[in-house]
Amino acid sequence: MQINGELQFFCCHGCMAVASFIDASGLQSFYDLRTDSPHRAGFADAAKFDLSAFDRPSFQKVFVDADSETGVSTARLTIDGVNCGACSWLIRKSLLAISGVEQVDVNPATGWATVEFKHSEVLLSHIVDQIARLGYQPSPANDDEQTSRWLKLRRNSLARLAVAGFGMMQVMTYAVAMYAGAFTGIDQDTRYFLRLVSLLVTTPVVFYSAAPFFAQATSALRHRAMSMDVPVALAIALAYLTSVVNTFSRSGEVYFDSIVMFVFLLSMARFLVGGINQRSRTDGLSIDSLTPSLARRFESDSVVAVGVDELQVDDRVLVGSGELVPVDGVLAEGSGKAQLQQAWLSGESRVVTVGPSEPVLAGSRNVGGPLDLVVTAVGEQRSVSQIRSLYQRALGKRPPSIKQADRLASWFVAIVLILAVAGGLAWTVAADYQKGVEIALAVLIVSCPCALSLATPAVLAAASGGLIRHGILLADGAAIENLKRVDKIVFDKTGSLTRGQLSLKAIHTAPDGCSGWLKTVVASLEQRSNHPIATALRGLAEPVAVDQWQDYPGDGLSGVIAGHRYWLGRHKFVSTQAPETDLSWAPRGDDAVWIGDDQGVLGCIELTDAPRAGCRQVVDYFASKGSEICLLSGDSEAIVDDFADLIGIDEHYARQSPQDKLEKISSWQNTQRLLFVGDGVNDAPAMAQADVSVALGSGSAMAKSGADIVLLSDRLDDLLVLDRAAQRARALIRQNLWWAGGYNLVIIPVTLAGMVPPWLAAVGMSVSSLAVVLSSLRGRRI
Amino acid sequence: MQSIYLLIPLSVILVVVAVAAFFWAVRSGQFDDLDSPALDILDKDDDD
Repeated sequence: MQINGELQFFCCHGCMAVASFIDASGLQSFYDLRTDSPHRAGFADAAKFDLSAFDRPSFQKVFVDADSETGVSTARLTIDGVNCGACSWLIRKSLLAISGVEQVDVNPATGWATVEFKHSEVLLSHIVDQIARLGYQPSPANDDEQTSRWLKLRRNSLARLAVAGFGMMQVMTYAVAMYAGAFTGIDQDTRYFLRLVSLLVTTPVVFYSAAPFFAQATSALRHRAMSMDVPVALAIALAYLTSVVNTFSRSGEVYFDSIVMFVFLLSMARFLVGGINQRSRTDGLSIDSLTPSLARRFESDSVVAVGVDELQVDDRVLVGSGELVPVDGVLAEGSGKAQLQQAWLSGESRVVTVGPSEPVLAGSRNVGGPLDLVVTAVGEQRSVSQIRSLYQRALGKRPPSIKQADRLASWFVAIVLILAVAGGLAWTVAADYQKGVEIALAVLIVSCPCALSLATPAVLAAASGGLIRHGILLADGAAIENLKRVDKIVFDKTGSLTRGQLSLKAIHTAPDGCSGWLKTVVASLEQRSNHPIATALRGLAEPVAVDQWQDYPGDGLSGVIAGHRYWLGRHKFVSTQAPETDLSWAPRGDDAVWIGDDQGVLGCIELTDAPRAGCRQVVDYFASKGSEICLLSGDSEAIVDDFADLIGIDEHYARQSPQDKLEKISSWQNTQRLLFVGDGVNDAPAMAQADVSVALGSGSAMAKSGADIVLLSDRLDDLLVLDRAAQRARALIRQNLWWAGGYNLVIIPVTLAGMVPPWLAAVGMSVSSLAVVLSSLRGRRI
Repeated sequence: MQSIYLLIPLSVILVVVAVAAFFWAVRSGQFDDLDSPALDILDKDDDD
C-alpha cells in the first residue's frame, strides 16, 4: 500500500492495517481501509463462504465450551495468517466491537485464539465471519500437540530464567560484600553467613534453572556425542560442588556469583534464540489451513453447510466458484467441465480442466463455475495429507546440521580436562595434594567455557532479532551457519521465482481497432469471472454494464456491451464465434486471451506469470558467488524452458512431482549441500529434506512450517539481505570464538603456573562472558 | 553489622515472594504474548 506517497510492504494484514490506521490518524474505521485495499485476493474468498456450519451443535462440540449458567461460550479457534502483535490487536479490536463478545485473546506466536461470547446475543458464525473479513483464515482449533508443547516449554524456560535472574541479583550483592571484605577485612562469621545465604539462593538456580543443561549434557553423553552442554554442565557442577565444600569447611573460595551469572546469561541467550516464533515450526496446522474446514453437502434437495469432519465418502458436496476443494472427490456424472488451479499442489501454473467422473484433489481452487463432487477420500486419506506424511518423513531423515561451536567444544573440553588433570598432578608432586586440587579446579573454572558457549547463541539471538525487523523470520538459528556451506541453490518456479499469478504482458489491438475500448470490454467482461486470468484483467479499465453475461468453462466468456456481443477467451473459442480475419499482427502462442465480435478478432492480450522483482538479481548474485543454480518446477516443459532462459538458469527440470523433488534433493545431498527456495505444498517435502530451506511469505502453511527461514515480506530479493546478515553473523561468531579462545590461551597457562587466585578466575570468567554478549549485540544491525 | 542477620533473610523472603508472583503470572499465560499489548495504546476509546 501507499504511505506518504511511498510504496511500503508489510509482513501481514495486521501490520498493514495498523500502519493504515496510524496513517489515517484514526479518522477512518478499519473496515473501510480493509475493503479499500484487499491484501491477498485468495483470503478474501473466505468471507464469501457460508459460515453457518459454525452454528451447528454437532460441529461446535469439538471446540466450543458452553457454560449454561452464565450464558457465555468459549470458542477455541486457530487463525491462519496471524504473524505478529499487530494482527492479534486488529482481530481483538474488531471482535470486541461486536456486542455480545466478552473477551478475545489471540496469541500471535501460536495463532491460537479464544473468544468468549454470549451465545444468546451473537452467533459464532458472525464472529468467524468478522475474522475472515479482516483477511485471516479462522478454523476450529485442532489439538496441535507440538504447539502446546512449545508453549509449555516456553513458559517453563521463562520461569527458569526468572529464578536465575532473581538469584543472580541477590548473589551478586552478597558477592560484592565478600569481595570488599577480601580487601578490607571481614570477620569470619559474617563471611560464613554470606556464603551460606549465597548457597541458599544458588541452589534453586543450579537445580531448577540449570536443569536443562544437565539433561542435555547427559543425553549427549548417552549418545556418545560431545555438545557444548557437556562442559557447561561440568563447569556448573564442579563450581557448585567446590563452593559447597568450601562453604562448610570454611576454607578456600566460593564461586556462587559466577554460577548464577553464567546460568542466567546462557538461559537468556537460549530463550531468545528458541522462542522467536513457533508458528513456523508447527506442522499440525498446515493441512487445515490449506483446505477449508467447512463444506456444503447435498442433503435431500437442499444444500447444508457442514464441517468437513462431518463428511463421509460418497457424500455429495458443492464447491462454489472461487472456493478451495475440501476433500478428494470425483466430478459428479452429468456435470460440466470444471476448471481448477493446483499451483500449490503440483506447481502447475496453468488452469487444469477436469471432466465428469475425473478426480479432483483437496486443496485445489475452483476457478470455474460451481462444482458438484462425490467425495472419495476424507481426512488423512486425502492426497494432500499424503504429501504431508512424505514431508514429515523427510523432516525425520534430514541430515543433522553440524554446529561449529559443538565441534570446537569437544576438542576444547578434552584439552581442558587433560590440562586440569596434568596440572593437578604436577602440583601434587611439586607441592602437596591440597595445592594440586586447587590448581585443577582453578583451571576448570577459569577456562569455564561460558564465553565459548555463549559465542554462537548470543549472535544468533541478536541476528534473528535484527532480521525479523526486515521481515525475515529465522526459524532455525543453525541455518545462518549452514548457509555458508551451501553449494547448490534449488528454486521452485511458480510462486517462488514468479508471483504465481498471471499478469499482463502485452496488449495487441487489431490494426483498425481502438485499444481503449478493447480494455473497457475486457475489464467489463471479466468482472464476474473467478478465473485467475480475470484477476489480472479486471483492473484494465473502468468497467461498464454487461448484459447476458455467460461463462463457457474451459473456453471463455461472452456478454453484450452497449448492445453489441463480444467473446473473450481461447483463440479456438473466439475464432469459431468471430469471422475469420487477417491475424498477421497477432503474436503466436497459446498463452493469450483473444477478444472478438461479429466483425472478427479485435485483439489479443498476452499474459505471463511474471518473475518476482529482483529475481534475476538474486540468481545472478548467487551464481557469481559460485553456487550452482537449479530450477525444479512442477510446471510443463515449455513454460519452464522459457522461464529458465529468461532468468538465465541452465539446469532446470519440469513436471516434478513432490516425490521427484524429494528424490532429486536427497540424491544431490550425497555430494552437495543444498538450499531450497520454495512456497508450495509440493515443495514442502523437498524443503524439509534440504540442508537449508527458505519459504516465501505468501506460500502455503506447510512449506513455511518446514522452512528454516521465512521471507515474511514476500520479497525474493530479501535473500540478498539474508545472505549479508548471515555473513555478518558468521563473522561475529568467529570473532567471539577467537576472543574466547584467546582469553583461554592466555589465562590457562597463567593459572597452571599458580598465579591466579580462584576468585580472580571467577571474575575473569564473568567478564569474558559479558564481553561476548555485548559484542554479539552488533549482530542486530543489518 | 548485626542488622544483616535480619535484613538478608528478609530480602531472601522477598525474593521468594517475587519469584512466586512471577511464576503465577507465567502460568496464567500473561507472558505468552509479548507483542500485541504494546499496540493497545492505539485504542483511543478506553471503554474496553
